[in-house]
Amino acid sequence: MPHSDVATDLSLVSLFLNAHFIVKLVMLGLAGASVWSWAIIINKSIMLRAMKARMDEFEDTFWSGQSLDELYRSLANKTTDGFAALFMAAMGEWRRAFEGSGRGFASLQTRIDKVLDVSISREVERLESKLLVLATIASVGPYIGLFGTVFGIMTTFRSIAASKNTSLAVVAPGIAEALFATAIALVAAIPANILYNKFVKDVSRTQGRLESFADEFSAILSRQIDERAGQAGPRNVA
Amino acid sequence: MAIDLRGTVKRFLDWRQPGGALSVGAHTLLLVASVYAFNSAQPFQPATEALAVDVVSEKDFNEMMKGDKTSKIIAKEPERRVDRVAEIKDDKDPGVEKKDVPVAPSKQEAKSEPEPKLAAIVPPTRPPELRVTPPTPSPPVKAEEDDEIDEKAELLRRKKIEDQKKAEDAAKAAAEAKRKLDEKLKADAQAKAAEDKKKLDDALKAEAEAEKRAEDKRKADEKKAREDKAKKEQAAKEAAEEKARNDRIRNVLNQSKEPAASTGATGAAVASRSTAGTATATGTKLSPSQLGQLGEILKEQMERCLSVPSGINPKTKPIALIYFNRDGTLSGAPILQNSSAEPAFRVLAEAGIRALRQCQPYKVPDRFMSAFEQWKVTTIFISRPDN
Repeated sequence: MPHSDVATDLSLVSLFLNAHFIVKLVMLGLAGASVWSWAIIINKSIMLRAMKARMDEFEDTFWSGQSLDELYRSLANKTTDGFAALFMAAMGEWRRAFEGSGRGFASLQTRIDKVLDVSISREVERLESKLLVLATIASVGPYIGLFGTVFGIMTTFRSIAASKNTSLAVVAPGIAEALFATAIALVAAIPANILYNKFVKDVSRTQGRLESFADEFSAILSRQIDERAGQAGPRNVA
Repeated sequence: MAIDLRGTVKRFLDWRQPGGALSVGAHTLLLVASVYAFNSAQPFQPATEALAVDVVSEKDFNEMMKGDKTSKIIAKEPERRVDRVAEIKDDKDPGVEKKDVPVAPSKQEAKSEPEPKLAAIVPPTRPPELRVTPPTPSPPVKAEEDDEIDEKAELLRRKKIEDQKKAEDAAKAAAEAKRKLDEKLKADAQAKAAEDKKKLDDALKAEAEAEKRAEDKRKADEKKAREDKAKKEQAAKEAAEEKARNDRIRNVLNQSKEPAASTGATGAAVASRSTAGTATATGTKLSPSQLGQLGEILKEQMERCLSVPSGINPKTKPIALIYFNRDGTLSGAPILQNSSAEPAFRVLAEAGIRALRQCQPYKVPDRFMSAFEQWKVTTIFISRPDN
């Protein structure tokens, strides 16, 4: 395949170097956005996968009939997330109610519910973090690339007007440069958009699981509270 | 968003969140790969020129130039090889074998040679005979003489080669002076072959005849009997010779292995080459508008010679069929194609045909000459120039 001199000038590097300053900025920004979005995608997918695994594991442990106090003690010195975080928050509140003078049974259920809600929202916030970046890149990236393209075509037409030569050989390199910006934008935006949708769905499913676990755990604790209140109440009264 | 550089770097290098490092690495790899892959744009393959195809429509094919299929010469005006100019204007195609068969010319030569000699020989021999014969009762001799002339011509033709021998025979005949008539004929033949000896022969012959006539007077009956005998012998001999000659010709014809050959292409003018085309094509055709143009050109020329009284304006316009030569002259009389009972029609038609004759040669523009075959027979409406 013969390579002409014109053809060798059309490598990606020379395309980038020949572009206008603003187009260069757009290209660099979009390349950075692509790097960032992929970093987020990788981290997020690792995180979601790990969280799902830990939650499954915790669920098995939780329903294995093990004593909740033992479970609490085994998890006490670890960083927790998901069900474990919820469990630790609720158990912490529960234990705090009994460590003291044993007062405050009446509103313990309410406090546990609040704590669980806060934990859920914290976990969800952690899961959803940086997803907004992906959404932004997915939605705005093509516009930025289009801006670079339009700007590149503008400059190309200005040079055509200046050189008074309309042959395709004159027009083509400028157009190729300009379209390069859109290409980068699409490379960044398409995976960002696809994976954003996937992550949003994963996060909402996880949130649903957290909420149902919170309700179940809240119900268990509520039963415990009522039993303790039934035992302690007459003694206190007496 | 406050940028915490150190925190960012720390998070970036966190092994639990390898996304940043992985992404940067993957993008670098992708960039390197794409720089390598898009190192150079592949130029378009130069579009191969489409095969140049000349579409030959049926019309074009029919109007193909007259010429030779194998010829490589392409000329604007179609030409055809013509070996000799035809006396009758009949364009003959080049035949199978491109050579002249020697038959026709040789026949002409053979005919042309003896005729003048006969004319030259007969006058000196006959007058004395005519003058002498009336008193002598010898009508058969005269008849014999007539026969002799024909026989002489035939003999001459077939026995040219034996001229030398005949000359000797003639000398003998002169010396003996009493030989038979067929020997005298041989003497005559010798005289014809050798022009310079003609006079001598004539003299000898005259002498021989004089002697013979003298002898005839003396031996009329005797000679008559002898002559009858000689005549019979000669007839027999000639019949034999005729048969032999026919056999020879038959043999020649039977043994001839030469393929059929034409007498050569004929045409209006001798041409050494043929242009590309087909032998049966009729040359270029004129479009209807060109034909109309030509018709108007011819009509306009005709009208210049047309003189008819102003009142003559028949409803039916006379139509004349005209035969043209290449030079614009008429090759035949114009023929009136229609008729009408109107008196004016007859007047106009006659005037028109007169005008058509007077106006030749017609000036035909050169561009129509290649299509001569198409307009050599043309019909023309005769009408006055003003209507």
